[in-house]
Amino acid sequence: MPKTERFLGAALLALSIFLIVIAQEMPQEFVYKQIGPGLWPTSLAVVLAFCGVALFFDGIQVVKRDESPALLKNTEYNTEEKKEKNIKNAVNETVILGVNLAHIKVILIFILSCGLVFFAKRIGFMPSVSIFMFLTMITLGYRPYLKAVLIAVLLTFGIVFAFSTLMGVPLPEGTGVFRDINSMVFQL
Amino acid sequence: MENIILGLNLLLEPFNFMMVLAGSVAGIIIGAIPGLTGPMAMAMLIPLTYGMESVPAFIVLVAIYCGSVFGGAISAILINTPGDGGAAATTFDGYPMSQRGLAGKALGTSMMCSSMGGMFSVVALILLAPQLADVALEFGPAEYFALGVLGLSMVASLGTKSQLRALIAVVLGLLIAVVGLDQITGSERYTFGVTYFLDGVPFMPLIIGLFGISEVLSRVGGIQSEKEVKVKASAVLPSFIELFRIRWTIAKSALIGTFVGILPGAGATTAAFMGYAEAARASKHPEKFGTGIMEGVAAPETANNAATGGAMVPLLALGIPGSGAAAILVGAFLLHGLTPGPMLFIQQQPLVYGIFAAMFVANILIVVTGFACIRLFVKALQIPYSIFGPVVIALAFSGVYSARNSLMDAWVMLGAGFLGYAMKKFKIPLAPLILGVVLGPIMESSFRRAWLISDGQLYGVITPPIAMSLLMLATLIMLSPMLRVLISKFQASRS
Repeated sequence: MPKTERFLGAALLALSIFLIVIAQEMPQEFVYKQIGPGLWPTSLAVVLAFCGVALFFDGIQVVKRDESPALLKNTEYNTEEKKEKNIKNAVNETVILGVNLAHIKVILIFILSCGLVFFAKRIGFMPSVSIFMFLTMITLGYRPYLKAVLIAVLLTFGIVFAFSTLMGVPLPEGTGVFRDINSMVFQL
Repeated sequence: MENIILGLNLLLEPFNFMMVLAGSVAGIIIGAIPGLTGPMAMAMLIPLTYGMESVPAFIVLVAIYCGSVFGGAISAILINTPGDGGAAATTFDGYPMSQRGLAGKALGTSMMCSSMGGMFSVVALILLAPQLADVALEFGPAEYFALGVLGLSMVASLGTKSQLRALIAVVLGLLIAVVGLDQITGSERYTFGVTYFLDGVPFMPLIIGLFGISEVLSRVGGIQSEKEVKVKASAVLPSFIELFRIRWTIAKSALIGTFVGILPGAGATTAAFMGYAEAARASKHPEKFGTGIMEGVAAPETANNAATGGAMVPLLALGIPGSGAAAILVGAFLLHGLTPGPMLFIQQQPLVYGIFAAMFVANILIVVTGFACIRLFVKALQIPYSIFGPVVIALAFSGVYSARNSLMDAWVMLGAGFLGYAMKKFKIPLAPLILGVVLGPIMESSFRRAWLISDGQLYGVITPPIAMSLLMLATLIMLSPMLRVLISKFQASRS
């Protein structure tokens, strides 16, 4: 945790300095005696900078506390407790090429979500959402594949029915031949 | 009284009643499934309500809100995993009751107490909100600025373990709200030359990303572990004598829950823990708490549902949300072209009283639907998250896109989702960020208008009596941790 706190503190400090620098380009005073658009963001960024510094030093204090001999026993106890927890989450704790499996899953799901938004414009809602759902279900460990395909397609139809048919709101149609396929499904 | 009858009349319309029933059932199911939360469902449903009239739209949203807070108790009792944060304290006695073969009784107690706590808070809401709105009509910009400061100071001090992290979330929210054209001078702020951001960071994609996408990523990331569910249960309602025996626990928890709900930043979770702690403190047998007793389920369940009505008081009367879920309702108000606050009581009376009536009926429906559909709710617990996760993301994408027909909104949603995930990883709470986004523009514009009125004197902003009292209270709240340390040091030195 102390490492995380120091990292977060430093990152917030850097962000706040960046925001303060940009805010200086905005007028701090507007007409006579009036507050300009730059004063509010500058003040907020300064508060954020203080928070960053406080968090950074908090992290250092935690390190000092952890190094004190009185707490060493507790640390050992915590390690034992953590071991038990780790056994319970064995699947998620599996390490592949130095990266935690759970983190790989998060990254994969995020990439798949980005893919959904990217391809929705090109191939339209029906194919992009069906493929996304299938791939995400598989990534999260759903089996068998055939059942996953069926569920993905059925759920996509369900969403199209709710949004397009019931509520009459627009969904991405795609371009070219995909546009025709999607429009056909939306009109069902 | 006429207005309340008007509200109840609105619910007699078949479509509106269907909405409150569907919202209530959906809320309970969503609340029961760990990883799906009430605020998440509300955020994703808001775009779907765009095509509806405002009354049924808000009816379904508040019904989900009330239902989900109870729903969390089902998984808390049956599988020792709270489906919703507000049900965390229910696991203390609910799960031991379940292990002793009293799962049905625990579920029944939870239903009755949630319902009673919720109904009590709605009555408090009906009595308090219009009075508070009357007072708020007299507020000028200085008072609104002070109110914003008070709200944010409470957010940063209550309901979270680390005040520093809550403050970071608040400031990040306020900074996000800065993005776009300045309301007074029209200057660009933090837009980085992107035309899309001239109108600011859109609220809907932001909350859907923060509450929907980030929840899925956290769940996948193993922050909360998944459990295989193999349980069967039916509900057994407690007898009148049993309820009479715990009447004071229920009454006190309802009061605590409503009061805590009114405070900005302290939602159902804090209310439930406070209700439980008070019940254990006041009990003749505090040692029995945690072993599976009815009071241990009744106290947190009454308090967490009582917080729902409480959280609506500042939202409807002042336009300041009292919890994360209430902040999401701000998004719904904006989407329907309405501004939450005292003017609602003048311009949108049927809607306001329709919301009151819907919340009251939704709390009654907790017992009716809970009792009738408990098997369905338990079945829903058995659907694996590998299906729910993708559905949540697909629904979030569909909702965000369809609201404004914009793929850029979907990218903002994903960005917000990643930000929310990172915040959870670093243990920074999400609700204060949303409250910062909502309160930021109100606070800034109020301050600048008050400054203008007082001819550029800070004196004129902080000295009006109400503003001054609110600011003093805010200062006291912000300094309270330091004061607490000083007092304990003083006491230690004396002893």
